[in-house]
This record gives sequence, structure tokens and C-alpha cells, in this order.
Amino acid sequence: MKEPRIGIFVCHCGLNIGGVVNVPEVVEYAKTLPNVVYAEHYVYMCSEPGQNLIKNAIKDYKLNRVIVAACSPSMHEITFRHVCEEAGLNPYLFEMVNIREHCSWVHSHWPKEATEKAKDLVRMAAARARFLKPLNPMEVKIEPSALVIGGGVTGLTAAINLADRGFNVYLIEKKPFLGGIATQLSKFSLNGKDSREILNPLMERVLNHKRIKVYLNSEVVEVGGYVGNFSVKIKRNPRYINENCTECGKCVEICPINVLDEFNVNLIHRKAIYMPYPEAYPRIYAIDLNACNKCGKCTEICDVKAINLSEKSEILNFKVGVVIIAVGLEAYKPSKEYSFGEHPDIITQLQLERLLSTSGPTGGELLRPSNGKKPESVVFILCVGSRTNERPYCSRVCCSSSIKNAYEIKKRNPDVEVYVLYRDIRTYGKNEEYYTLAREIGVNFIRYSLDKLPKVVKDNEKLKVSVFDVGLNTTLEIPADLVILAEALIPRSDLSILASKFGISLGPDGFLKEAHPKLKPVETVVNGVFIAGGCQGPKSVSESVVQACAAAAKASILLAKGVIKVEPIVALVNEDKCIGCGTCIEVCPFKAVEKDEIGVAKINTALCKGCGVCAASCPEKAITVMHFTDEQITAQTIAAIREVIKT
Amino acid sequence: MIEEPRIGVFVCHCGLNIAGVIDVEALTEYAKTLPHVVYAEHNRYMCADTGQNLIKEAIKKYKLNRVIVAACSPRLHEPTFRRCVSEAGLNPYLLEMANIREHCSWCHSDYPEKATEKAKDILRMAVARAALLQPLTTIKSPVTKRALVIGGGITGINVALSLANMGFEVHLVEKNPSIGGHMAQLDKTFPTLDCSACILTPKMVDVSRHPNIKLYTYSEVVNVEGYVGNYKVRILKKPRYVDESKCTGCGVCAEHCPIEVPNEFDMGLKLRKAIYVPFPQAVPLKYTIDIDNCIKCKACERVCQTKAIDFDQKEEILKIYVEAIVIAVGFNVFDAEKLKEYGYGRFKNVITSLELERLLNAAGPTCGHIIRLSDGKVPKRIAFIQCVGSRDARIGKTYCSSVCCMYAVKNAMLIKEHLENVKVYIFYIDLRAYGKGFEEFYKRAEKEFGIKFICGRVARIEEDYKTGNLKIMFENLDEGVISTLECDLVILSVGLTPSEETIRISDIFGLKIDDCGFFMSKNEINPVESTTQGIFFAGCSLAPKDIPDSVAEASAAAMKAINYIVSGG
Repeated sequence: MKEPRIGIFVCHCGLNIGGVVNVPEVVEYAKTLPNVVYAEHYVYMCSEPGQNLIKNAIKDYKLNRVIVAACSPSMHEITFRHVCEEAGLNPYLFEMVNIREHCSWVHSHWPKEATEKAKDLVRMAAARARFLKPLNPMEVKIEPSALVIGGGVTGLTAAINLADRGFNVYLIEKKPFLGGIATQLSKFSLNGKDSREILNPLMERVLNHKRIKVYLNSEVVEVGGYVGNFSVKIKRNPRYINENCTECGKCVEICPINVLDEFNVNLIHRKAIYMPYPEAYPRIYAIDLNACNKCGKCTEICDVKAINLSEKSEILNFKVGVVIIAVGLEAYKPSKEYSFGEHPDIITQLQLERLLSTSGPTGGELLRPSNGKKPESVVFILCVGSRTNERPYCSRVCCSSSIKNAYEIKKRNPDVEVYVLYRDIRTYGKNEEYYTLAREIGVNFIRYSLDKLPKVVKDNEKLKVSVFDVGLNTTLEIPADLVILAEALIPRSDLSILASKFGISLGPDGFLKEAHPKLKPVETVVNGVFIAGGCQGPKSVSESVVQACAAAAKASILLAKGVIKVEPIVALVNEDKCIGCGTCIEVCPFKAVEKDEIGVAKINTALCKGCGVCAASCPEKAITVMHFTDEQITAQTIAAIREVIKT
Repeated sequence: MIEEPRIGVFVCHCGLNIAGVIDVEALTEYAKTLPHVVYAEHNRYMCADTGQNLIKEAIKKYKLNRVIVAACSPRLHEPTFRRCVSEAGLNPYLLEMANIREHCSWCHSDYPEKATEKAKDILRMAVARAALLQPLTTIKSPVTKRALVIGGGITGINVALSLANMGFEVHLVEKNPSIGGHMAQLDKTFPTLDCSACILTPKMVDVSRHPNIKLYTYSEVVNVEGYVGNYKVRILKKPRYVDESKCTGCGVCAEHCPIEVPNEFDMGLKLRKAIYVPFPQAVPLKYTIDIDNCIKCKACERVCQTKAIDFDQKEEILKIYVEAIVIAVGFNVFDAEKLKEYGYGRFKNVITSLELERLLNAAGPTCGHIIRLSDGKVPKRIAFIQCVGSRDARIGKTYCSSVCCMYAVKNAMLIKEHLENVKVYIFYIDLRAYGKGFEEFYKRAEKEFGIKFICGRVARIEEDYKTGNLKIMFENLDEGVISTLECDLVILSVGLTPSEETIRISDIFGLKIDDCGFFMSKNEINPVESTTQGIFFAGCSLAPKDIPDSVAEASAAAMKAINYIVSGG
């Protein structure tokens, strides 16, 4: 191995470093270190003249290791690696030392000590640099297909846009039917069209699109790979019914099982064999495995032999270039707030949507769940479960939805008294019109404050809402036939598991975290994984559609590229030392280790992120991480505590 | 056969930008001593026609096969000089630029001797490299899909970049002399408190450098013909009276211009010359003459060394053919003078939120100091008034401007950080902190920063003529009383109105406008498409919204436009 010839370049970074650390002193010190044949300083190493200094020195002094002591590697490691490359030196023979964020910036009041620390850091870097080896990056092809997880309005839109662009799309949906939460809504906007009228064409297009393959009753089991080459394992649960189904309904009649109908938010019951609403997509009934007792009556009565109760679940494997996560959100189920659960006429907004829907249990007529009669007085309570200590965020769309519904109720029945109890009315943008129209049509708005919450009280079978009206400074007692709680929109309970499968995280509000809140709302920190719609945060149908298109656009750019470069900082197994104990396989957070045919650990270098946990855990010291070898790190550590190591 | 390098060195004075610090004569003489250099000379403006002709002639006369131009940053003129040497028959990659301006004269202006030595070093390095340069050929790929983007703010910029990154030819038209829009005027953005310019300007530079984007600034779309999927668009390039191909952005003209007028970019709080760039990071960095205020003294013309001033310049009509159009014309700010009861325009210490942004900004009229414009004093009691020009049926602006609650909270926090012992009040009707992280930001402002939120509309403001202080009369809905508050600075949270371009553009393209004056999209499931095929919208053209929503719509519109184009229209 060639004798290391180290060049050390210390940056002043204007006054950022030079104003605290005595840079020339550090350079002089560097010159005393073993194997250092050249050292100098410059005001801005990352500038062109600074870079040229390095390049010239590499040539003139035949340097085969370069150290730049400057800012954080996250700023300029790539810059200086390129400089080395351009000068003919392998970029991984470069080491960066952070004497700014880790030294001058944090010890700005102790220049002497900071200078000593800078010297220590440089000495450590030199110790490591001696043991650096040249490495080469890998180029990988991008699979020209996409996986969209979620078959609601967001996932459907993303799938269509990618497919129209010319890419193959696999769309997976956990439920047996498409459409998500949007199918439960009556309308998306005030005086808007019926939700089914808007969603049906979208679902038709997806099911008939030649480039989209839809997998229902399916969920993600395992994720592997990296951008351009994700391998996703899907479990497809059985539906038990095939396309022969004519929706004749005989099976539903004969099914003996009754369960709560979650599509209608438990307002009514359904059978174990069901379709959530008439003419859902696809037009095939489904069997709820949790409810079904496998009695077989449906199979017998089916004329077209569409039912097979022995259908098994299957595992499918997809290889895709990009993933768009569009799994949506859930509606909060109030626990004790406002006596929810104690009276059938205290309902949530989502339940109201079902009562107002033409596809719902009352055919769209607003009737009280308790007695089936029309309500004469309706009270909405906003911010139920949102803007609290337990859940500080605002659910964004409930003000607009509630007011849209309040208006609808009043419009249909001008004699009904409608009240909206609120903290702030957040009908932002053009939705302010909803608030104006609602007031004009005679909806009453009453402001309450967080320290004096309204109370819903049972008076025999009647309900009464008492609220302290801040404006009037009085407590009002409102008799209510129907109380609607505008519940929060919450992240799915399985969101954190799904996120961890992809290596992305959740924000403090529990929704998926984007790469940059302002400029990258649909990208994540994992290249190739995008998010859109309700899983990123509560939003309206329109806003979800916008994010779906945006995610499709970002994904398209990647897919169209065709190739991507991957860093060579990966783990390597010494097969002679490996005893096949499997510890590395267990501890690897990226599932990058497997046992090969002879039982020895094998690293998938494409998946490996070079974190080093395997190397640290291996009892036989059989694993090395390229660019972070034991030799390199040990040398660096020893140099930290001892003055100089003689090689 | 490797030929012997014959290097020509051309040192630019760049007016006084370089020559005012570096001894260009000595530099040129030094160049002559370097290996392989057979010719060296210097000139006032190398990028000008005269300078370029010098280079071309020298190439021919002295049979140069390598050219070095020691001047400004390659970012400005490398393409210029590459073209220049090409025209003289030399491969463009046999050109080397040495930056002795940004990397030398501009940063070492106090040390002329050392700067000259450094310039010599830089030149020597360039010569060493140039000797080893090899001819290269550019790789051309055909681009046949074309789109027009109207509007160069954050939304238009993102649409253009999305389209260009997908391989489409983009024509981006911006009516102002620079792209950047209103986001360039902001100090920090909510709720992350990112520096607005820091996240915007790299995108602006990306636009200017993207090979697939053709940028037309100080230009407007005036006409469209043709049919769906096959639009012939006429763009009017307004006369800058400055030749963009010659202007180097050196600024000598502005130094000599005798006319000062309020700078629109700083909301009129700072002055600019009649010949100007709107802000230092403008893209493109080319001067423009505000002909309405110009007195035609022609001082600029006399001092411009590249002869870039052209008072005979006429407006140009350019024709382009595109298959899809994305409209991203943004918004205007509500004119607060329309609400007489707040005294804007009469009371000096009643300012708008955008004026406050400029005061907060370190590059603004007060270098980031919050002071009263009447007397320069530091305010002790500041009041924000929400919904000025929004949610107001009296003036026909019934919609909500979406961002004012949040920007007021953000600015209130920044003021609290800047000033000690300042009391800040926000008068609101509904506090609309609806987005991701918004409510948490609002609560932080209230609890950690002690900003006082008062629910109640402000009825009127009166001024104490002697002190310039203001008395706010309002209804406190929480306490059910009518009250007054005296403060020394009032900030009106003005709403976002439709851009003045909306009506004109809707006429040209036959597009629908809603009651609020914004463009109308097709429906809720097609939020960025217009009812006319091939035309799309994004950002505040449709309705007031914040930056993340605008950015998402920009990508969405780009996706829709591309799918429209590839599907054959």
C-alpha cells in the first residue's frame, strides 16, 4: 500500500471560523502530524480559487489523502469530493473536519480552547485519513413503475395521473371497495354535486385503465429496496366473491349474520356479505371475514357460482421505482365528550354525512336516529377533539363541512332551528362564502370559549345543549333534537407501522412528515417515497386531489430519469470469520442482511445504508463498513486522546 | 496530434468594477510572460460588442487556439464568450474564464496591490488549465413539447421547473423586470420561520439556468390565436430601453442617474433610480429604465461602457407556439386607503403588513429595524388589525384571504424577538390557524411570546397629531364592551386581491372569473384545470393561499399540463 501523503486545507470561512480559531496556528500544527506533506489555509475553501488550491496541491505534492477542515460535511462534503475527483483522486480518500458547527460556532467565547479543539479534530481526521481506501459508487436502474398505497380519492387521482403519463401503476387498497372516506360524504361543497356523481367516473377510469392494476383487500407487509428499486410484499386477503357477481342481492337476504355497518358509522347494521352502498366500485359483493361464520348459505343460493369460501389469501411481490403513500385518515370517535354514546341523537359529522347522503340509511332524509322523525332543532358543536391539550392541531375542514351541512339542513327545512357553536370559524379562502350564506339563511352562530365548554344534557328522552355565549355574556339553554359533534380528523392507527416500513417518520401531530413543510409538501426524506392527501394532514377533497397530482408529478420526474447513483458506504462481510449467528440480520434496521446458501451473512449493498450497527454487533468482528472501518475509527479515537500516533 | 497551445488572454476592466482595484495593465503584461501566451490585451468591457470583436479578431490574426477571459463570474458570461469564440471558428470548450471580479476586485477592494497579485495568480492558474483544454461537442436532444407559463412568482417558477424537469420546453412570461413575485418581498415565512429569500432565490437561479426554460421578463401575453392544443401566443416585450444582451448589471448607470423615485419592491419606503433593478438578487440581473420618470438626461447612456442604453428601443412582439398554458399570475395587495376609517395614507404610523415585511427585512429600507416612519422612534405598543379588505361586504371583498391570520402571528413573533419591552396586540374576528403546524404556532405566540389576541373588529382609528400615536376603537367581544387602545404603530393585515392581470388574461383566453374576481377551476375534482382544455391554473390565481398549497398546485398543474400534451391534446 502506498505511503499516505496527506494534504490538509483549513478554511477561515470568512470570519465564521477565522474569527475564533487561530487558523494559521492550526495549519502549522497540521504540518507536524505524521504523513502530512502539505497544509495551508484559505479564506473560502469552497470557492473556486479555494478549490483550485486543493487541486493544484494534489498535483504538485502528489497528495493521496485530502482533509478539509471547514464547515459541516452536510454543506460541502459533496463539493470537495468533486474537487478530488476532478484532480484525479478517488473522492472517498477525502475527509472533512467540522471546525465550524462543532467548534468555532459553539465555542465562540473561548478562542484559545477552540483553537486547541480544532487541532484535536484535525489530528483525529489525519489519523483516520491514513486508513481511508478508494471506493466507487454504484449506478442503479430505475424501475419504470409505481406503487400507490390507498384507493381513496387521493390514491385514485395519483394512479390516473401516473398511468396517463405512461407508467405502470399498482394500486393497493386495504378495503374491498374503492373510494375511501370521500364515498361516505354526501357532498364535497356547498350546493355541490352528489359525491358519487363526482367519484364514480374517477373509479371507472381507474378500474378500466390499461396501465393500472388494482389489488383490493390488500395491504403492505414488507418493504425493501431503495429509490428506483423498491421491492414491496403485499398480502391480498380473500374477497370470496368473483366477477360473476350480478349484485342480485340474494346472498345478502339469506345471510344470518348482522354486524354494525362501519361504512354508515354504526348507525345501522349490515350482513357479513355486503356492498357498502348501492353501485359501489367494484360492483362485486364482499364478505367480511371477521363477521362471517362460514355457514355457506350464500354459496348455495348464488346462481352464478360467484362465491368461494375457501379462497385463500395470497402474497404478491412488486418491484417498483417509486411509491406514493395515500392511505388517508380517520374520523375521531368521541369518547365521553358532550355525552357522546349516551343518546342516539348525539352523532358525529361523519354520521350526519351518512344521514344526508342519498346512499345512506335514510336515503338522504335527515331523520333522528332515536325515533325516525324529522328534527326541529339541530345543534352543531365544533372543535370536538381538535385544538385540545391532547390534540393541539386544527382539523382544517370541519368548519367548512359543518357550515355546508348546517346550510343544507336549513335550506331543505327552513323551519328547523340550526345552531353552530364555535370557537373560531375557519372557513378560509373562498369557503368564507359558506359562512355568509349560512348566516343569511338563518343559521345561528354562537361563540364559546375553551374555558367554558358547552354541555349536552339529557332531560328524560330530550336533549338540551347549554352554552355560555361569550358575546351575550349569558348561558343559553338550547333544546336539541339532534346534536352533531364536529369530530377531529386523526391519523390512521396503523400509520406509524406503515411509516416505519418505509423509513419515514410522523410529525408531532401524528401525520406523515414531509421533506420540507414549505417547498416539498409531498416529498419525504426517503428518495422515491411520496405522500399525498389525508395521511399528510387533514385537508379537503380538492386539496387532496392537488397533492395527488403533485406527488404524481414528482414521481414522474424520477421515473423518467431511468438511472440513479448510490453511495458506496456499505457494509462488507468477511465470510471466513462469519459464524452464521444471525445477530447482524436481527439488528439491521434496513433489513439489508440475509443468510446465503451456506449460512453466511450476505449484505445487500443496494439496501445497506452504512449505519454500522451490524459491524458493531458482530461477535466475531466479521463485518466492516466501507469508509468507516474499525481501523479508521480506532485510529481517530486514539488520536483524540493521545497527542500523536506514530505509524 | 496534440497541437501547441496558442493562448490569448483578454483582461476586462468591467468599468471600474475590476480596473478600479486591480492594475489591469500590469496584469496584462504579466500574462504575456506566461507559458503559451502569444497575445494579451485589456479592454473596458469584454462582453460588449467591441470587446467581443477584439477577441474574434485576435483569434484570427494570432491563430489563437485557446482563449482566456479574465473578467466577472462565468455564471454571467461564460455562455457569451463561448458563443463569441465559436463564431470565430474556435471550439467553445477551448475557452477559460478567470473570475477576477467576484473573486478578486469585489472582495479585496481595500487591498489593490494584493488584489492585483491575486489576479495574477488566478490568471496563471487559468493559463495552466487552458493549455490542457480539449475541444468538446455539445449533445443535443430535441424538445418538441411546449408549454407557456404566465407569472414568475413562486408558483410560476415551480410550474416551469416541474415542466422543464420532465423534458418539456417552457416559456415563462413575467410582467415585472424580475421573477420572484411577492415571496421575494417577504422576510420570514410561517410557521417554520424560514428566510423567504433563502428558499426562493436558488429556485430563481435554477429557472434562469435551466436549458428547457425560456424566460421573458418585463413582458406580457397580449394575444392568443389558434385552437385547443395548438396555441399561437403573442408576447409583448416592453421596452427596457436597455439592451439585455449588452447590459452587464454593473450599476454605473444607476450611480449617475439624477432621478429618485419610490421603489415598488420596498412598497415605496425606499428610493430607487429611474434606471434600476428591483432588488439585488433579481433574475435576470438587467437594468430597466422607468420611462415615465426618466427625464432623458441621458447620463446613463454616456457612462454605460457596453453601450447598452437604447432610448430608441421599441416594444417587441414575439410569437410562440405552445400546446398547453398554465396561469400563475398571483395576487395583488388590497389598497388599504379604501377603508377610510383606518386612516391609511393619512396617518403615518398606520402601515400595511407588506410594508412591515420590508421594515423587518435586513435588506429593506430600515435595515431590519422596526421604527416608526413618522419620527424614527422605536414603537412600544403595536396593534395588528385583521381582515382589512377581506370578509367585507361593504367593499365587495367577501372572501377570506387565508394567510393574514398566520402572517400577523408570524410578524408579531418577529417583532417580539426584535424589540424588548414591546406590547403586541392582534385584533381579529376569527383566528384562522387551520393548516399544518398553524394552531401550535398560534398557541406558541400567545403563551411563549405573550402576544395579546383580542376578539373584536376595529371600528376606527384616530391619530394624535402631535405624537403620531393612534387610538384604536374596537368592540371587545370577549368582555362585551366597547373599548379604546392607544398604540404607537398600527399594522393593517391587508387581504390578497386577484391580480390586476386576471381580467385581461380572462378576456384573452376566454376564461371564467368568479364573484370574488379569481379564476374558476373546472370543479372540486379538477381543481387546477380550467373549463377550456389545455389551460390550467395554480396558486393565488385561483384563490388566496399559502406557499405550501401554492407549491403543491404548481406541481399538480404541471402534471396536468404534461398529461394533456402527451395525450395529444
